[in-house]
Amino acid sequence: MNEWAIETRQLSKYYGDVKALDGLTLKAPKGSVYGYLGRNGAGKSTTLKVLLGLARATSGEAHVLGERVRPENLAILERTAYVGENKPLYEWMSAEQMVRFTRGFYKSWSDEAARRYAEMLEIPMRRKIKKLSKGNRTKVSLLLALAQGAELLMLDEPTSGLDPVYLDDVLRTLVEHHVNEGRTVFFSSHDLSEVEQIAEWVGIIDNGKMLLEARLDDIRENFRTVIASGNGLPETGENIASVTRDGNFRKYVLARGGESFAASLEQQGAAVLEVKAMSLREVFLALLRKESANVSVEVLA
Amino acid sequence: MLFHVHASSGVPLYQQIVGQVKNAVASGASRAGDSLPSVRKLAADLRINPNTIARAYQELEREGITRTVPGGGTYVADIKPGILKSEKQKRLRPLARQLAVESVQLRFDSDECVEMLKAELRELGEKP
Amino acid sequence: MYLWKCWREYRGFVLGLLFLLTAFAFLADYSQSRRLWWTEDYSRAASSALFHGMHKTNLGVFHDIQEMNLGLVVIGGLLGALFMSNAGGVATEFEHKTSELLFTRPRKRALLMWTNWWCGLFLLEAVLLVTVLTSSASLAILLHVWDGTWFALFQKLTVRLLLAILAMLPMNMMVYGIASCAGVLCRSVSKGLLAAVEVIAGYFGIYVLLQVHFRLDTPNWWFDRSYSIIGGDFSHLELALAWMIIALLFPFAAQKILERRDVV
Repeated sequence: MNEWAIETRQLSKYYGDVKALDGLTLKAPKGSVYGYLGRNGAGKSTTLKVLLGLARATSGEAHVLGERVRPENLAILERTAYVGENKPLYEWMSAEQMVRFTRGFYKSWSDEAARRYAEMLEIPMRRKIKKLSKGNRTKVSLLLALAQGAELLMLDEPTSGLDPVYLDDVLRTLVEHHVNEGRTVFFSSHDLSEVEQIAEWVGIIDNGKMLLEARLDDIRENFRTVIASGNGLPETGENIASVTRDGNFRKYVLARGGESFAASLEQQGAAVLEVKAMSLREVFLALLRKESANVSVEVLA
Repeated sequence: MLFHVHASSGVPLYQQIVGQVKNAVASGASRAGDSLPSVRKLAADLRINPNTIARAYQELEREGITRTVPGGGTYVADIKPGILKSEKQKRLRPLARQLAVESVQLRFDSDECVEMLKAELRELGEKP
Repeated sequence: MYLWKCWREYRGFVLGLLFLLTAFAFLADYSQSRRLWWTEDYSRAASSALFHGMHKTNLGVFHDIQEMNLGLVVIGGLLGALFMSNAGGVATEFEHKTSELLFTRPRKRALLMWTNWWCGLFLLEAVLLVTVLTSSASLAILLHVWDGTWFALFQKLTVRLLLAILAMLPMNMMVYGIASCAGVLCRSVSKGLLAAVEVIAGYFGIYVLLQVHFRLDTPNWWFDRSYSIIGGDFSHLELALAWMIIALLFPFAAQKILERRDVV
């Protein structure tokens, strides 16, 4: 049995001249929580749309839950729950009506789960969607996705625009949902701290290509910031993801071997001021900031 | 037990949890037989991935700090004094190292360093 | 559940159209039926006599009522067909940005599209039917005439109008098909409408050009002409069926567009 919930190989999607996806290779293990990161316009939403058959890939191939990705693959649509960036809903319906509309499509729908999540998220079920706040709309979209009983949840920026309380509610619900056996959560986000809390795997996409795909714990255990000062310090090197300069000072971001790199600098006579672990945000910025990055495509783990 | 994790600290979350359990045990706040929250509950409370908690609990069990009862429940194990002592040492060592590293960088010699430590202990009312 | 959604989305437009048409029909009936009482003392016997008198001569007022109702069926049907997809056709999914909601449901796009289309067509024809029946019923009430002669006329009116609905069916299907296909092609209800109007007007222009100017027999939608351009005589039924099949090509094209193109 295939161990990947999502697997792509050289997936490309061109819109005329624009390369939204450019040979993307992605692997999301079944049963994991995978955080999909990237700058605006890097290709996160396009990836989701191609995987669901909403847009047709230009070249390359992909599999979702073992099924070949193509437009109108009903097997994928049956087993996957999707919430788009704009959380589309029918404005004239109420949340209750949206539930009634959606449940008929899925064999794996659970009325009990729908009831439970509606209560947990405190959604006003009778009010029309057009009268709901953004936070409540997101909750309704999430409710529909969770009650569907899908093996794979695909969420495009599920918490964008939510205030901290709503965000907390959503995280709590997602975590509880994930507890169920074998279910995968694949979500894209700009909120790196939220990704850090619940993701096990992280994929960073830039310009339609995968820049870094690794276990979050591996990133935590391997990426280091080394600050040193001295003469003749190296500008590039193996595992150096980025270098920031200021006179004699250098701030290196190492993708691995931070401690041994620092030791080697000390042996050369440099003063190493700091070797410290990095938050996901710091790693992200180091890899994607134009001024300092000199990265090549890397896959850890 | 109450837990608190920093997702952005760069330290794997499971390690943080393992560390917190060990601290509690080493300091005597948690004793043999005390129960740990279930994986599911702790994950929901902390808003983190349950697999992280599971990993932490596995690690703790492997090291003999906790034991799992079949049918549910994780409890602090009867910890041998030897293990306790080594855990305590593990906790202090990085602090000692930090003191040593800083002293060397600031060009203190070992006598000055030890003197400083003794002064601090005296202030706390401990015998040097 | 999708059918329920289609119904709910069409509901407003459909009921509005129904109200409009029945109101007009009633007004037409009322205004014409009053003419029967002009010269007399508004008594039942008098209008009956007048009615029978008219019947023996040239139908007169009744003919006018018939024409008015016919006009309503024809024009109401065409306009309804044109604007129906505005209300709830598949194109509205693109308009309201819910296409990524609908097309991630595990259903074939063809099924969704055709369910929607037939639902709209059914509702349109149902509106026309109800209009005709209401009109006939209100006529019966207005004229207060229940004897056999009147009844025969009443039946003739109703049957004539029902036949008109049937006759208009290919044309309604054509207009509705063009409008919904244009909507899907343009991904926008308003642009689709404009495109549909342009197509229909364009064809009408070509028709006038060919038929009137060059005197070529050109395919048309009027029910009472057969044409010799394809050689031989065809019955009205055969022509109607042919037109219906041609009309179905438009939603079929829309289906193909939905299946081929990106839907987001």
